[in-house]
Amino acid sequence: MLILTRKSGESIRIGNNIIISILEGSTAQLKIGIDAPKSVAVYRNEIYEKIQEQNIAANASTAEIGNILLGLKKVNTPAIEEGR
Amino acid sequence: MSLITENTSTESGPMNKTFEDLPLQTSKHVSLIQGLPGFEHLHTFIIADIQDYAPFCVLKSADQPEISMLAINAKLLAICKDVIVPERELDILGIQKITEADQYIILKADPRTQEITANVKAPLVFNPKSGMGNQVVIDDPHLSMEYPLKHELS
Repeated sequence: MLILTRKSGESIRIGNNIIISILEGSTAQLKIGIDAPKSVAVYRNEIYEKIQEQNIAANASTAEIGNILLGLKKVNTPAIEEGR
Repeated sequence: MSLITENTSTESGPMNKTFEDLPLQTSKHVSLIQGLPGFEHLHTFIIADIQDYAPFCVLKSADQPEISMLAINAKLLAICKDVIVPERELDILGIQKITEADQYIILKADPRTQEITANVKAPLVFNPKSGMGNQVVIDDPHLSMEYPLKHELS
């Protein structure tokens, strides 16, 4: 891993078009700004990893959840007709 | 809003089926620009309503059909009303207002409790005209990735 030391107001450039700026900093927390093209997705890493886990679990439970649905009966859902 | 009720029917019919037997209908192809988190190599999906079980639908990979999950239209969930999707995400999809978008919420079942939960923190948002979409993160601490669907039932 590349390790760089930066102060508030300084920045890091990644490639030609991604700039990460240190906006505020303390030993406990950093506030950073990210300037990146729209084609680059930006996530908090721990959130992204949690979404990955949820999607993998959802795929694993598809048959199970479907069988739960078989025990349920649809009633009128006018909102869905408007929304589709 | 009341979505579904317990099926107490004793007649032959859905209760005698397995999930794999349920016919799908009204399908459409969509494309996830960034891929689906956890399955980043998969970009093209089919969203198909489950016949007789609307509003539930299946999100199935077009390239790897064994990758599929159940979902529900976010417009049906009260907790998803008025969520604020980051402007950057809408720009990427070419959408001016979130009301123009199609949104789906991925569901999963807890294997221990058999409870269905909804990932309302990270909806799938699509431009209905282009079919292009992404799974986006809603920056709202009140939204959970494991929101019990029973909270939306009467």
